[in-house]
Amino acid sequence: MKVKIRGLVPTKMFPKITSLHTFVLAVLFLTTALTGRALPVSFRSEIAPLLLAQCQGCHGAEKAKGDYRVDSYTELMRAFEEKPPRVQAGKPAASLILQLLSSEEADDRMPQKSAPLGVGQIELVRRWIGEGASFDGDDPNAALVQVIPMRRHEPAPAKYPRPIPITALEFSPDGRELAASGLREITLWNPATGGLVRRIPNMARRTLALAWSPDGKQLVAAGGIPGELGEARVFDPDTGDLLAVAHRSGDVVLDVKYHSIGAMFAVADAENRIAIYNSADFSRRRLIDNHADWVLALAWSPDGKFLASASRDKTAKIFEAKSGEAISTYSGHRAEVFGVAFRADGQQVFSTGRDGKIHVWKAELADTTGKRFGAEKVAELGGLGRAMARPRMVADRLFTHADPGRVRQHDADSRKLLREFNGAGDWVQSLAHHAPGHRLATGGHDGRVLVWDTQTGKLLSEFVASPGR
Amino acid sequence: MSLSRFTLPVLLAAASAHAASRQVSFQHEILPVLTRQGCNAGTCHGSPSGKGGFALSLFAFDAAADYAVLTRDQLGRRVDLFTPSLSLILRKPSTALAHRGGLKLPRDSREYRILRDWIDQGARTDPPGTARCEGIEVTPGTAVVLRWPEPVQHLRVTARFEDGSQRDVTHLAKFTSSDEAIIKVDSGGRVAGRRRGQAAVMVRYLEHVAALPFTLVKPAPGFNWVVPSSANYIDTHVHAKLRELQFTPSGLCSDSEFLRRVHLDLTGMLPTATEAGMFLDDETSVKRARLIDTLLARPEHAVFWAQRWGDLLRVNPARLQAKGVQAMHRWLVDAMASNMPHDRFARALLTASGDTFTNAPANYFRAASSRDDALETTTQLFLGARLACAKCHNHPFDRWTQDHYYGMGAFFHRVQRATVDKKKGGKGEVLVGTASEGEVTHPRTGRTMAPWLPGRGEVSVPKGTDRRAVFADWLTRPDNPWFARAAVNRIWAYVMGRGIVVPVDDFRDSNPPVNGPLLEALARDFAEHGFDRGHLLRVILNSRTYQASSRSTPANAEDRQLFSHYQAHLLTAEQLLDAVCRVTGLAESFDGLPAGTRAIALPSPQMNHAFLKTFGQPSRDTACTCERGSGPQLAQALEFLSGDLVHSKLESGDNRFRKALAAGKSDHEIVDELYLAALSRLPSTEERESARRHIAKSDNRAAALADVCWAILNTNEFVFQH
Repeated sequence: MKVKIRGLVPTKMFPKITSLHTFVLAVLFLTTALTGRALPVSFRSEIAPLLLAQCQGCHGAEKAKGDYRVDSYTELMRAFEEKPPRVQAGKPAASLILQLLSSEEADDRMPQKSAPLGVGQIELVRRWIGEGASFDGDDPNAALVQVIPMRRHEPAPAKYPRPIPITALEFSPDGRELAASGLREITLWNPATGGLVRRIPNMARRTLALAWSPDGKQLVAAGGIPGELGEARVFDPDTGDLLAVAHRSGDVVLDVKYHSIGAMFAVADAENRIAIYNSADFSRRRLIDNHADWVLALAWSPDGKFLASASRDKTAKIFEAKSGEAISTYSGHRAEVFGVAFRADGQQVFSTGRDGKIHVWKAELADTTGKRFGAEKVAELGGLGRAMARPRMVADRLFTHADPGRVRQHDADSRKLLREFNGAGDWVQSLAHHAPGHRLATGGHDGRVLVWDTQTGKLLSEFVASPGR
Repeated sequence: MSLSRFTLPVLLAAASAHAASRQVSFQHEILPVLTRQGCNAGTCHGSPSGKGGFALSLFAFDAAADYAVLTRDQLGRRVDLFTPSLSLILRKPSTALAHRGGLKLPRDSREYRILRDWIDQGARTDPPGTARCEGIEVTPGTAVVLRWPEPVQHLRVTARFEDGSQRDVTHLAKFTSSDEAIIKVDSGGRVAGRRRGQAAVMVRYLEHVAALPFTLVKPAPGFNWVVPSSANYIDTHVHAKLRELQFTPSGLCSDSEFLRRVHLDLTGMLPTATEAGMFLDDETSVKRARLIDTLLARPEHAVFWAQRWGDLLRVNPARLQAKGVQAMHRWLVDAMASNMPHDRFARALLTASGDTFTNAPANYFRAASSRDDALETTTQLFLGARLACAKCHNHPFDRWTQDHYYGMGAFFHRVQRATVDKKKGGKGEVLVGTASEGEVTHPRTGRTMAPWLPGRGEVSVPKGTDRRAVFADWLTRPDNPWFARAAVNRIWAYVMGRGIVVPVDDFRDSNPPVNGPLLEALARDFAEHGFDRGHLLRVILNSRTYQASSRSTPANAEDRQLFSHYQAHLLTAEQLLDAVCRVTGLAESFDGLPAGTRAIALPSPQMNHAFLKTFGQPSRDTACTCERGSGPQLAQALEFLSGDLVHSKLESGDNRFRKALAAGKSDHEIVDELYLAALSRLPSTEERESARRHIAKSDNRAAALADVCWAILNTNEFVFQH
């Protein structure tokens, strides 16, 4: 299925309504049109998405301009010192928020330095306040993103108009299937033949990481819509049923890693958080809000007691899973850290970053008192070039790293370069490794998946993992 | 109505389909759009660490990195190949999603469409073999004069490509005005004048920069040009410019103003009361020219101008050690005293080797302790160009590229500096020399850089030749356009209070001289006279322009840059301290220096002297003239009103007026003497009368005279050069 992708591309093939609030507006318009009288405005499905997209950037927990936050219903309605609340239930005209949204003066108008909200959007806010500014969810203190109803994502196109970049790739535990990122779906492929096996719909627009449970009964897909939504969805890989939306955030979820025993999995998101979920009921065991920037990658220690993280805040850290305490911080990259992996004995950690180097440092897992210290560097391997893609490292008996177009295998003990897998014509955006079967798969930005035998270095199959290409 | 409602979207759709049929060029359209919309500006995503985790190269100097960041980085999150309008690089700047940088890319803009079409086409790089852009031309190409009532000009930008083709890129270029108060330029290249004056419009397309100077002429009511007299070519050029912009020059300054002005400029000191009296009484017509010659020959002249060079060459003990400072100070004083030609001066510094304690010029490379420092210092001092920006990226406002930076750096790469400390049997001197090999590697491309010279290109230097000598040969050639211009502008600024190019060491197309012909004429004269500093000073100081009054007239009050009248400026810290000492008759003493040493003769800054610090004495850390503070500040006013130094000198029993009292002089005589010493003139009748009345009222003559002296020191006439 080697495909040339050029020629005329019909761009109007997909439903036009894709962004959240245009969708909301369309629904509103339809309901109004059909009933003749509008239904009450819903905070959860109509106001919260608007606040999230347009206001929370400046009025959130991170940056609260004017000491005003809108990241939850409670915050939105809060009175500040002697001033009246910005939202006066039942009194739109008296509500400062509405005055600022509809101001004619660009200097006063919210959102600042932005195009004004549409007439329909302002009308929605006016009606909601007029109808009593009520909360129609369970927890008024919950973050907006948690309040917005779980979405059913648009179906994927039957045939892709162009190959999709493969940003996530993972072998099933038995090695017979290869799950890949699709457009609003997960696609499952036969790694030997490149044949499409199955499609799992109802995933968010982009999938950035995949993880199978060790028993193969669950497949967790992390991703979202950049700048808008992050989700970790759990599917039954056989039936394609959605089992849960385990994690949600205001920007994408960047990584997910299943615990080796299988009782839990951990996710990392672009709101700088790490969360650990029970795989039995998808309840949250632990939320770790320790990094100062996006958490790009995670790795469990071989004994399953520790979790290593790589972050855009230029550090890699190790946390004790049980307590969520940070026990070690490594800042030797002095640049964004893209990936982390434990050596098989759990004594050392490998990390890669935008500095184009692999750093090897001591894991220091003995200290679980919660005392933080800088981890000690053991070695540094250079020569990765101007690596920008996120590498995926798999540290079993081998250790691999991807930078634009090239995949390398290092020996974890001697740190010698064992092999190179060169065949990807574009950036490698994802790596999957199946240790028992000695298989390595790479997913390219150009949509191509290459499957290799790690013992011989032979290329076994090559296909474009996009249905219809 | 209903018809037009339907036709419009159809037409738009047709237009967009048409646009999409042609491949949008990443290099020639997307990168310029990012620059034009301000995305990659230094304050936004072009800053070294980017903004919000999204970093572009400053003004798109690194196309490959920008392409990777836009399309591949962070798992390709920024572009959506399936629904282009959902791309983060469109949703954020159009504020469909919150964008801290505000609205930069309206959905209905042409720039938005270009980006969207490019993504729609697959967000690809240009096919191999795409012709590179070689340069741009802006029409109209020459200096433009705009006149009211329609001071408007439309610019057109054409890009030339290496395959010989040309394309109109006006809609992709970025336009910037050098002075928004004088001219405005919009994104379509429409220039509109706002008030009389001169300014430049800078045009940028990719790394190509062009600047177009504009002169805005607004008829001044009642303007009537009466040809003023000219002393030399300086006046001719200044008057031509003034006439063009309809300003009338002020008349000549008075003898006492001239006397004080020229003494301060040439010797750094006030004339003594005796000198003042003699000059004012002199009746000969050539007395001003004669005074200039006399002062140029005075040893104080060499000392004062040595201090100016000491500032620029960073002569301070932290860098050179006390012995190095002494050596350098003596060498500079000698160079000024012997009127060493400027080309020889530059060459001596740039090619110096040996022991910094015994061969003073070698301290040039001790102060400039690295290749990059030597390059940046040399270009700033002798070419008037600030190259530091080009170290990390192409210069944002100029033609200098990173290639130029490292190419020129090759001339200084082999300079070696070895410190001989106590352990090695020395006293901390540095031995400067050159290695016989060693090449510069370009940090981005990894290329080995051949020595490169502006206007010459790459040059090959024979083995065994000191590359610095090759550089100095090129630098000091009479036809080198940069060397003489930079030097004359600096000297002009010292005596006129303002450069023809401001800042004096920041020559750029986008920062044009306020009077180009004047600068050219001065530079030519300087070069033709063997880079004779004394000659140049003589020409400038004898001009009517230098000798103009500092009082403006209604016909030139608006002008601050064309030299229609003399620009009054604060005395330097050292001049002012010496002046206070002179008026009070009490010398200042400095740490470790003989009593009676004047502040202008200090070999290096007195770091612990509060008065000098307050008035902007530089610590000599940089080679920039700007290090010397020149703006008036509140602390300075307080220093004179109630500062320790002024107060103690007024209270001292040995000061000028107390000694005069003891000698039995009259109030009248003493007040006259104070005025002559401080202001180089006698008091007016009213001034004399009010002083007399004040002293008469008081029962303590000395205290009353202290008040009079204090009042004189607190006048603008005293603290300013005018």
